[in-house]
Amino acid sequence: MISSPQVRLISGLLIVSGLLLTRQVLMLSAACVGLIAYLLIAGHFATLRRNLLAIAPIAVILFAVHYLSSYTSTIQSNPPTQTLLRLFGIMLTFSYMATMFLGYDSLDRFVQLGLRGEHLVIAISATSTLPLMQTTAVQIIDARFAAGLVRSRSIFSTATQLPYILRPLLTQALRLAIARSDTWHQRGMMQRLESNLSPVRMEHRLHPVELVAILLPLAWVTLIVGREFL
Amino acid sequence: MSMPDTPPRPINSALLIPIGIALNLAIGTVVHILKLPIFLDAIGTIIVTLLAGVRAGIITGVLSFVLAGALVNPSYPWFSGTQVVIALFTHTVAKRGGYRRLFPRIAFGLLLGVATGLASAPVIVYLFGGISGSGASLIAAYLIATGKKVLEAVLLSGLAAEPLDKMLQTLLAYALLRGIPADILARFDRTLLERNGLLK
Amino acid sequence: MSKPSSLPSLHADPAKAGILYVGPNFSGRSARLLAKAQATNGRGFFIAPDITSAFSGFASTLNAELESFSQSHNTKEDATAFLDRLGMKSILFRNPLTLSGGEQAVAALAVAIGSGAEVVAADCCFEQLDVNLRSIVVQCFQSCCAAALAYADNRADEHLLPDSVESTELPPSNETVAATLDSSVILDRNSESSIIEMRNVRASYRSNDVFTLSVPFLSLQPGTVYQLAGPNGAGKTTLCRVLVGLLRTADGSILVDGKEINSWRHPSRVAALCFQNPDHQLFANTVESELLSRGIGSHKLESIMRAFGVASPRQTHPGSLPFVLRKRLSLAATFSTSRGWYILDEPTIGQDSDSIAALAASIRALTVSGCGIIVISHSKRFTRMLDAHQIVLRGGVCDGG
Repeated sequence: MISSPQVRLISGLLIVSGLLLTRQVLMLSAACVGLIAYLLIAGHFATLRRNLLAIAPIAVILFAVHYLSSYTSTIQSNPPTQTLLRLFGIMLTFSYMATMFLGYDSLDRFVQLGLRGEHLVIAISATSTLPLMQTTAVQIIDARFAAGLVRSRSIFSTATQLPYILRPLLTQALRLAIARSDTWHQRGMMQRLESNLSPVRMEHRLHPVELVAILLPLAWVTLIVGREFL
Repeated sequence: MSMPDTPPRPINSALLIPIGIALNLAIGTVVHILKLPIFLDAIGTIIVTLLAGVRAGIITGVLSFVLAGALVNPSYPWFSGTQVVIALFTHTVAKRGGYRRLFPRIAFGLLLGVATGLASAPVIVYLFGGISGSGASLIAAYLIATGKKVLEAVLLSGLAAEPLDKMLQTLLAYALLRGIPADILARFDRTLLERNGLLK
Repeated sequence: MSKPSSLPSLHADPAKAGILYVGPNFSGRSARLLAKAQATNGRGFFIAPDITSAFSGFASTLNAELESFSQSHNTKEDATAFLDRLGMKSILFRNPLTLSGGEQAVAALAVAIGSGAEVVAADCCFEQLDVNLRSIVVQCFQSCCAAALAYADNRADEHLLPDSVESTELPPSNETVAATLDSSVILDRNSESSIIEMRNVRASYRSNDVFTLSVPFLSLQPGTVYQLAGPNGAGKTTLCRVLVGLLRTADGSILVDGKEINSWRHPSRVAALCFQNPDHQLFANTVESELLSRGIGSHKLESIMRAFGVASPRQTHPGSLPFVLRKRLSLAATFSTSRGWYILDEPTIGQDSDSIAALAASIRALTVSGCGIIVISHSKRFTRMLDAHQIVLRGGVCDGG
């Protein structure tokens, strides 16, 4: 929905600063509800679930600690509701900013952000190398089992396998990176990339949704500043 | 393979950093597949720092945690500063030959844990209210519940858990680097490797 | 196989006939191909046996790879046309690094076409392509692209060469080491072989509920070589994974000498599996410790290295060996593990005809001593030499031995 990385960055930063400034549960919840609504409408269900899974254990422990410490000592820690809402809001804001860079058109997004040359290569290959290494890791574990080098699937015997799995993983990855480094140099791939990118860059006109994505957080932050400081 | 008569060109660090990132995250995956009770999230950062220097190490660490925030758990990115500390510490110690022998390596590994414990404490206290959701936060929770101040509790719990983890990671990183064949090592900056104790 | 003459030639240029280098391992094919690619001042494209380094590692789809690194719009169109002619346009939208071996070779050629290279040198990377498909791929390449093609293919004599390719024979070098197997090395240390029976076994991968493998009844006798046959996706690999215990069975039972076993709990109890990619299966820091860790005695080290043609000093890092030797080492390591059954997935990749013959001879010798062998291979010559029993799989269903 919101396809301009600049818009997401600006609105994301606005939300984070608002979250850090305010102590009011009402304003904190407003931000959380707004972000959840956006992630729901945009269909990022997996992202939302990750956020919930991350905040749940923290919430449980935080509330437990709060009630236990209120019995045992006179020192009152911050009320957990406030801390939790702020934390949850900050996590959600990060997801809101990050989700757009993990799709098929991520190249265009990074280019729009102004990344060029080596930085662009690092940004893109950071996301594309991971699935490959994970597949390789699984293949190496399988090979180890298949060769009869692991006695059983008990936790102890699998735990001892870790170094043996990491070594071929690293060696293989480095070998590939060296071969690739040569290829990049020989074929002048950086220059090719640069020359193929220039037409991709497009002029962006602000979409109504994007206007809302800027104005709404702006209004919210103004309100917070007004209530807290004036 | 490079031709024998031309000196090998050093590897482009732009292609090494993604490996470090993937290693940071993939080792997490391996740990997860094997269901191990440890948390190895900085081996890639340490390895890249030792092979290609501090700048590459910092980029690796920070990007790993940003990516982990998007893919695994959105609380990771706020600990990117800890990764910067890991890269800086590793580089500084390695530069002075601190990792060349086993015992100093163990000692500096433990010390790295102290440094990361200190570096992540402010984030845990001021952003997470003392509870980051990791295994160490259970200790912190206990300490807070028994009446310790939040900052004190987080520092203590961090110092209890981090040194062992970071010491293991330093040792593992060196064990892995020692296993890299010579023809691969030849493609990295020779003076850096010699200084870091990876070449004799 | 008939030549697909209906294909119109886009770049008819008789001067740019393809060159095929024929010769044994270590006869200098790779060096020649590399030199050809480098002689053209940055306009050459070299594809190594492990094809993945031909890709940038940067793009998440083949299409993105072509868009980012093509010479021009026209060369990108040529690359798409090449895939279209082969009926493989669907791989455009998949990650080039996770394609199967055969598909990867085709994808690498497409990237080469897109890059506008003048010379494309492909070093032994067509082996995972179906035999019938190989000359079609070469012809399609030549009709879609003006670049000169030079390649090496260990199995080129198994299929008809297109008219547009001239073959150049290279003499073996002095360093050539073909595997000469003294099978007694392995014979006297193998554990008892046993009859494996599978009854009503069904298995599937976690992600889908459809059973990818169904074996109503299969009995495997020791002292026999079995070849798993069937098209891609027929379940050959799945059957092997179930036998070794990498995949949990959903139903049915696996019996060894009449006793039911749980192969998932205790993987590789009856059979050791040698995977296609040797890099996944080499773990140690030296060739020596690689073999010793599999349980072979140190007095046998020399002979097993000689037997499998692992011509390298003992202290070499396995990762520093060329691909051919890494493959041989992984086979040697598998046979150093004492099991009654051995499962070999594409054991002849990268090997020349002499080594293939030696390997076939040693496998036959092993079966005489009572070992059971299961082989997956695309090489017709190899399976003919083995005189293997065929087990045919179709659509995941196994017809029995």
